[in-house]
Amino acid sequence: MTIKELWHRLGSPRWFYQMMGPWGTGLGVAAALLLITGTLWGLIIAPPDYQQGNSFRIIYVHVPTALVCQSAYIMMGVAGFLFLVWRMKLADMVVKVTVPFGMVMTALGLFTGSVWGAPTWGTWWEWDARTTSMLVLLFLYFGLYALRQAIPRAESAGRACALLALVGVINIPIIKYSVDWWLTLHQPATFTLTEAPSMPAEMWLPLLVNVIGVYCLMGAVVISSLRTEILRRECNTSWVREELMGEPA
Amino acid sequence: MSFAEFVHMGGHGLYVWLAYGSTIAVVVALWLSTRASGQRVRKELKMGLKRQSKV
Repeated sequence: MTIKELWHRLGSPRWFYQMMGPWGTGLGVAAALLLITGTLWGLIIAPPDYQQGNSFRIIYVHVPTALVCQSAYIMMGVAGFLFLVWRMKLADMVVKVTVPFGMVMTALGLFTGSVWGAPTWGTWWEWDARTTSMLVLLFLYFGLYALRQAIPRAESAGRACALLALVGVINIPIIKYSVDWWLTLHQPATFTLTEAPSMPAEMWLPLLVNVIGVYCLMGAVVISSLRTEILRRECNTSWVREELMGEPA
Repeated sequence: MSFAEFVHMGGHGLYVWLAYGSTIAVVVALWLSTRASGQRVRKELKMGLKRQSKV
């Protein structure tokens, strides 16, 4: 298969629906196994931090959720670009179905950060560069959700949301570098691609397991909601009719 | 380590359990609602198809 053929197939809702069912299930199972393992590991086996004690265990839910909501946004921005340039129907659906997942993960990242801040920084909320830029991310997700509801014509709603998704990507490097550009309370990144982790393996391994797990969860949720969205939009085509009749009730 | 000590988390129990509890509850709810909306849409579309075929 040439790259051009692959490109056309990826843009075809029918192909995606028929090929991606097992992927959604597989990623869902992987996510469940990894997240259960990583969470129990982080709660029970990982040693307490010498400075922060047991409150440090919040890292195992805070970092994965706060990371994945940014990746989800980047994915949405790329999909928005694809929809604006090539009018790919599937890309518009990606922009639509990623919003709830990203919104929930951003809210969790902020909430767990706030709960971690209480014993560590001595405050539940601080208008610090990292927390403020994450709050902007949450509002971007709210905005995308509201925008789609507010525009009745699906085509115009899709274009407006794609544009907002694309423009909002500017916030992602601001979140990433906020801890370097401004004086903040937030600690710098735990993981970087270029350096060895500064914590011992018994502390960062469960974190890595949960991070991979939450990315599998994103895959599973996005694929599952995309397949639902495809059925909804293509319900007047003959292949969807055949698909629905063939499936067990 | 006893179970009571585990729950107490060296005085940080409230924070640790609040963070873990909310995350687990929300992730499970997200997954269930994703599945439920998939099943609902399939059911509605199938009912629509049956109605069409009767007409």
